[in-house]
Amino acid sequence: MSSNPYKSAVEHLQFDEAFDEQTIALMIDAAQRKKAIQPFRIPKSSWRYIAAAAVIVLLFIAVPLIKDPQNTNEITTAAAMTEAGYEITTAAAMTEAGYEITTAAAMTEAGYETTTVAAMTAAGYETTALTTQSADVYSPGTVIEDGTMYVSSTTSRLEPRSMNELVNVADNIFTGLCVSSEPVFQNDFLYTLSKVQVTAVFKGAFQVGDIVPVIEMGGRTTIGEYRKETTVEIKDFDHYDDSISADTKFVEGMDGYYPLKVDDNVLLFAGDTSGFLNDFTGPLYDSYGDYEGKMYFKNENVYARNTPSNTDQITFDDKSASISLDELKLLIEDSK
Amino acid sequence: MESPADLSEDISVIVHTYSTSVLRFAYSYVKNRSDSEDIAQDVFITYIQKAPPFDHEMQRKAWIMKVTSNKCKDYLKSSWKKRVTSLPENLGYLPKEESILISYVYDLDEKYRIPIHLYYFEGYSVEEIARITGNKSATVASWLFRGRAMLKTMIGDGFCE
Repeated sequence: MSSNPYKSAVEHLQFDEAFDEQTIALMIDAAQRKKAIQPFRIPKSSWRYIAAAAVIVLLFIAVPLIKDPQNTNEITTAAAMTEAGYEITTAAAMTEAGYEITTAAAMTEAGYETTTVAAMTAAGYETTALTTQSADVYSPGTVIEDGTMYVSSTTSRLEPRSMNELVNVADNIFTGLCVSSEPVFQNDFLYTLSKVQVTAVFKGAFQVGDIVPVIEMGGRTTIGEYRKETTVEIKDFDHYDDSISADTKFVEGMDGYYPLKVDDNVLLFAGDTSGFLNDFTGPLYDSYGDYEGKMYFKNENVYARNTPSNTDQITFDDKSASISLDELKLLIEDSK
Repeated sequence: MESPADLSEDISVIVHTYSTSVLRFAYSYVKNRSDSEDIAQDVFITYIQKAPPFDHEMQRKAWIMKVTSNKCKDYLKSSWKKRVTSLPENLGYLPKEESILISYVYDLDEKYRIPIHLYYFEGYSVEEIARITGNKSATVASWLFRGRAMLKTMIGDGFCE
């Protein structure tokens, strides 16, 4: 075996002929046209997921017509989404958006027993979408409330980290108050750069009073800015509501969780992600698991993970994971 | 101003010189050949757009590696990536020992995996890795130490003699 078997193994990794002269010419052409680099990117628009959610709505609209309407114990996702204020996109709009309605039709023929997860999986989407759920529970999609459009996409995380895992994996655990929060666009994505002033430190080198820059996915901006700074290939805004103006407030979150805003009092399980933002020098942090590593002040010395929501209001329910700061200290002690 | 033919020739040289490093560095992040190739293209497009001047080739390579690191982090954090699950790579074409070694290294957490790749494949020093990854030297040294210890636990002393 060579003295550096790792180097030898990596050298043997095979890649396609990605850089022949024709590809290089295309790259030069794309670079010179600057904005014309899409041929080299996978389309990342989150709006396709909104359209996928609409497919599910279409699918489940038909269910009550077939199934026993007296079965009130089961609230379908369609009903929940309708109650939650979702508009139903027409089949024509879906077709225009590039989604196959035949998937829904085929599943309908199969007996209407398909859950939301199965439906989305069949449609080719990874999802943690809930199956049957009450109307006050978060469903991925879009909602307009008080003149603000809230969009929450669904990630493929199936196993949230436990509190023990968070304590073990996080280099920094502290409570703090969000003192500033601003949207940042990078590579077609919306992020939020917040500054959190540390109020208590449980793990790591921060000190009380330190200002910690924290980056999160999603953010708060206007629809006009979002359209300008990101690649929205499918104009779902237009399908959704033609009347929405560019200065309408726009809030993007993930899985029903939203980025920090000023005055949020949080417990953060943070890691170093310095260098992530191209235009931000200096140390930069993010919370583990995106939203899992961020808990909000609940009462006295207890912090809890907020209930996922279609808006960015912070609420808690009986199922909210919570921890007192005393319990946290014990967990950290045990982990050493 | 450089003619299109000259530009193409210059870029071609740069791409061929650094594509091996960029592809494999990106692969160490995203663990997927197809995504690595997309990221590598994006890196070189950024290079062509910015056309930064360098006094030394080492500076040029360090810049390219830094951009690669940033783009990989962007990709891994992107909402697109978070919604999809890549198929596991088939490394069956590698000799068994190498395939196992690669899988052990790439199973490590990113903070250990990346310094190990840059140290053992690229031959960068701890200080250089710190600059590329945007961390402190002491942190990188610590990650390298721990990463090596983990690999030693898994595969004994056979990782690097």
